Amino acid sequence: MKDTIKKKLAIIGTVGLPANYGGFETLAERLVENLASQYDMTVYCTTHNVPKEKRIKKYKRASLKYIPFKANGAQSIPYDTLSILHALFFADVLLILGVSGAWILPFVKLFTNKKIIISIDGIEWKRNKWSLPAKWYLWWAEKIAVKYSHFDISDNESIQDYTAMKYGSLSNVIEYGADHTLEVEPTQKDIEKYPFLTRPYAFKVCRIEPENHVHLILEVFARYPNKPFVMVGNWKNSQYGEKLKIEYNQYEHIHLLDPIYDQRGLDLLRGNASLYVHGHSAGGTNPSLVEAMYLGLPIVSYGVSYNRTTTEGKAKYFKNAKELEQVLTSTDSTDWFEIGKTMKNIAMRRYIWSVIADKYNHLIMQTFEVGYKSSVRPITTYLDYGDLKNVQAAHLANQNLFFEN
Amino acid sequence: MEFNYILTFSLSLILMFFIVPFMRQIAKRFKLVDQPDNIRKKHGKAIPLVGGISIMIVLLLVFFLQIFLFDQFSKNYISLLFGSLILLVTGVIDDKIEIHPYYKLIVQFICAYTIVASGFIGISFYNALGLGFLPVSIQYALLVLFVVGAINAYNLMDGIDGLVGNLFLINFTITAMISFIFDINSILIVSLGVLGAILGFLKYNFSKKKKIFLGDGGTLFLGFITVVININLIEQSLIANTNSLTIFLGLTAVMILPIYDALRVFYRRIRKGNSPFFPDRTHIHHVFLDIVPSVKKVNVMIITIVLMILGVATLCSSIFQFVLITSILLFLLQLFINMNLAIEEDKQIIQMIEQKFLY
Repeated sequence: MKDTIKKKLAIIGTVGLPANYGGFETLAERLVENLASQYDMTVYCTTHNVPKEKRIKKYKRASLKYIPFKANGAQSIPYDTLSILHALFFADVLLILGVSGAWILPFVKLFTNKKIIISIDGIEWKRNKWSLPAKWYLWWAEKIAVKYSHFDISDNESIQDYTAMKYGSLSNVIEYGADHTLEVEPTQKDIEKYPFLTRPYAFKVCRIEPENHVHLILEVFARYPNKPFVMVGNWKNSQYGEKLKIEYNQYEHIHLLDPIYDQRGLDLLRGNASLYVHGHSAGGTNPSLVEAMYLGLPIVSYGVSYNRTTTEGKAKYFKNAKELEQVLTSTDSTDWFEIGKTMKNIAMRRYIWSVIADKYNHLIMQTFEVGYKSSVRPITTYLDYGDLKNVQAAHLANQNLFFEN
Repeated sequence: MEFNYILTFSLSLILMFFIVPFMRQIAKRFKLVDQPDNIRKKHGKAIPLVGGISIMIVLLLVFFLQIFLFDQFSKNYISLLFGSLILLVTGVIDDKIEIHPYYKLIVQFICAYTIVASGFIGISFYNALGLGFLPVSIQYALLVLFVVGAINAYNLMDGIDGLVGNLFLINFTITAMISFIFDINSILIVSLGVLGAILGFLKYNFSKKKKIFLGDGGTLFLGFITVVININLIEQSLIANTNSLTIFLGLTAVMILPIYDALRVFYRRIRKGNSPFFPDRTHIHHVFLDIVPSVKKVNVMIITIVLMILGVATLCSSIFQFVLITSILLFLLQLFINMNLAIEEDKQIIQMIEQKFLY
């Protein structure tokens, strides 16, 4: 029998493959690994920093196409736009990660029958790292993305609430996988390089930005010389980072390291920590948090709803320096151990790439069956109240919606 | 004559530096101050609401001197004077004990009716607008309505330091220029007097330690003088038939932004099921302040828009052209404002969601 012709899936909006760094790149790579048998996959990559001789045409059964713009920053708009336009010629489904190219979606929907799935990431327009015009564009682009896609993806239930309240439509929650992380036993060489590996220490990895509460966490750990703290981040990228590095490098028990881009190097330090401190306050489900959970680390996290949702409310939380200090001083090792186990269990259930890929697969299949996006309001709320009353179903007109609880 | 003009302007300005400090002390004693008693107010301490009273005292002194020395002003300026005084007093009472908005409206209608009935402003410009076919009574009714609307529009613009003062400054600079060129002495004197007083007021309005506000009284009576002088000047230019289009468009242009903002805000509040006077932060200066948290920069941004519309007015060769271009500008401004208001609402949704714990 002839094999069924595979649907063509284009993944747009990432830096490209092989994945070096970044949540979307890792996602693209894992989707290729898990779904290449079901779909004829194409991934769009940037030519930026990739010399001509290194531009491979195929990677793990996916075709790679190169676009001559950067994938991030202002150039992401032409990057995503050109990728979308190119993909329209052959792809059946466009999986767009990020909203930079969303402006073109109304035309795509109007003139083509291609299926659009777009990931709106984590309310990007509110992030302090963007300039004002960028925020305005991203805010508008998010609106267009939700309105003109067949399905949109949020990476957190709290963001699903936001899209429900704002747009009245149901977003699909698909998080990230974390089982690409490695369990690394330190070698003698590792210990020579990082002597703190021989003792328990707390760990954090993030972009050095105020919204990640870097200053707050360092301020608290500085007061406890018996609690070594290791932090990996891009200290040199900002005045904020440079100032903090100068101030806190003088503490013997605080180790501030530059970015580590290889998986083994990062997981060596992260996986062998006795506590993971997560300070993110924006952006939905954070890949570094789910990775720490998968590694079975006890977690103390900034208490914003996204992080509580990611950890199912079973980690420890803080809202300010005082609360962080309280958690650090009053939680005993047994509690931390239990929390670590719980985090691992949650991650094994929710943050495995095969589970994530499966969710994407179901969504892609759904785009061929469902012609419209579901509203969050049940259809009964659109019916005439008098008619409902006549059939003694008036109660159906007023229903508490999921985000109103 | 030139000496008179310089005298008027300088005297107004200098007198403010004597009157204001005195009035600040009176205000503190009688507690005629603006308390920072709700989250919409950004100033941290009580500010004397004596800008309007000070300007009125200075203007009265200067104009009585004019009458005494030069026999300036015809009798129909009496209605302008009384209208201004009544609005000032109403506004000052409102600052002290908060009158219901509808009582203030009634007073405004009375003042508007009086100035129209006195003949200080009339309906001769309706023909220029192509509205001459309307019954005369309707024309007069619309004129009264317009005066009241414009007074309120200026009143509503008084939301950040210096803004409405700057708007009056631009307006009276234009009226001073026009009346100088066309030798309309009385209006030139009024314009120069107000200019000097406004400049003196702005010095205190922008001050950190000696700050004063115009107060409701100040914006009501200055808004009244502004719109009435503008219409009077338009009518005089139509009679003289010299550059009447440019003058008409120019004086309309300087009034457009406050009126547009007021209409926009009323419409939005009514659409949401609220009273048009519902206290929220949706005026243009609020929106700009959310984007750029600097009062000085917001002043510059708004004044730039006014000057742009004024620039369009001076370059247009027909009313249709002016209406078309200004409509496009205001439409783009509307889109921009609506976007930022929607962003502020979304920020509140996000703040609520971030505090809500699903687990």
